[in-house]
Amino acid sequence: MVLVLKEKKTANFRIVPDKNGNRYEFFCDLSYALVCTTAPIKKDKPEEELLFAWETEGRQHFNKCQKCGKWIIDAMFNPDVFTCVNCTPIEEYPDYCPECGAETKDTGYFCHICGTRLLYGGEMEDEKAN
Amino acid sequence: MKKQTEIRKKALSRFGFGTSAMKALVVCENCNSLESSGRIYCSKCDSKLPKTSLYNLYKSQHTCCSKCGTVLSVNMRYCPHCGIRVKEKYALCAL
Repeated sequence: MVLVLKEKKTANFRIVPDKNGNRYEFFCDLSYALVCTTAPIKKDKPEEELLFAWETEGRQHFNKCQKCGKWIIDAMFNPDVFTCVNCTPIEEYPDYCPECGAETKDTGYFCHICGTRLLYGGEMEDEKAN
Repeated sequence: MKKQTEIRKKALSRFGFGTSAMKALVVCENCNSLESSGRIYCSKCDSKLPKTSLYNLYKSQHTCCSKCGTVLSVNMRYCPHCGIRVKEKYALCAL
């Protein structure tokens, strides 16, 4: 399977003009929460200004989804698979096998009946596609 | 195994990851600031905060078990929490 990553250099942002330059407000791409407001920045080119704001103050507050390329806050990030929670829901150890419905015996990563991997259902789908 | 995942879940929640972190956060509809879900009014703009947390937003984007409300991955045939057979086609969780 070919993973197509949409190249998105920064999170969604809004420019707030200030007397000493422009302030940049960066928003989470999933929750639309305002995460960071930068100090006033003044550069010759708008692109240069944006990237400077992003690299110096914005970037550190965000995680990048490895599937869809969105920039998201920690709460909307699945650290087990490095994606946003929309691409791969957060999973807990199951009480029942999601494939055959057998009760799990709390033994390991695989179902003792059908052999299905018990964690990371979202990833299993990718493996089938491969 | 289950104990290990529980310990990991607790550790991650301390760093702001996971469903417990989502439940603790609300986004102000007026100024978009992140607020604690226990608050009634926004600390920045004083407007009333919505009752729906980030967890409600997360659930609304996924299919959920009709019996226990567990968020399900697209390829699941049985609910991993209560074990009931998941219908082929099921509605998105309501907010």
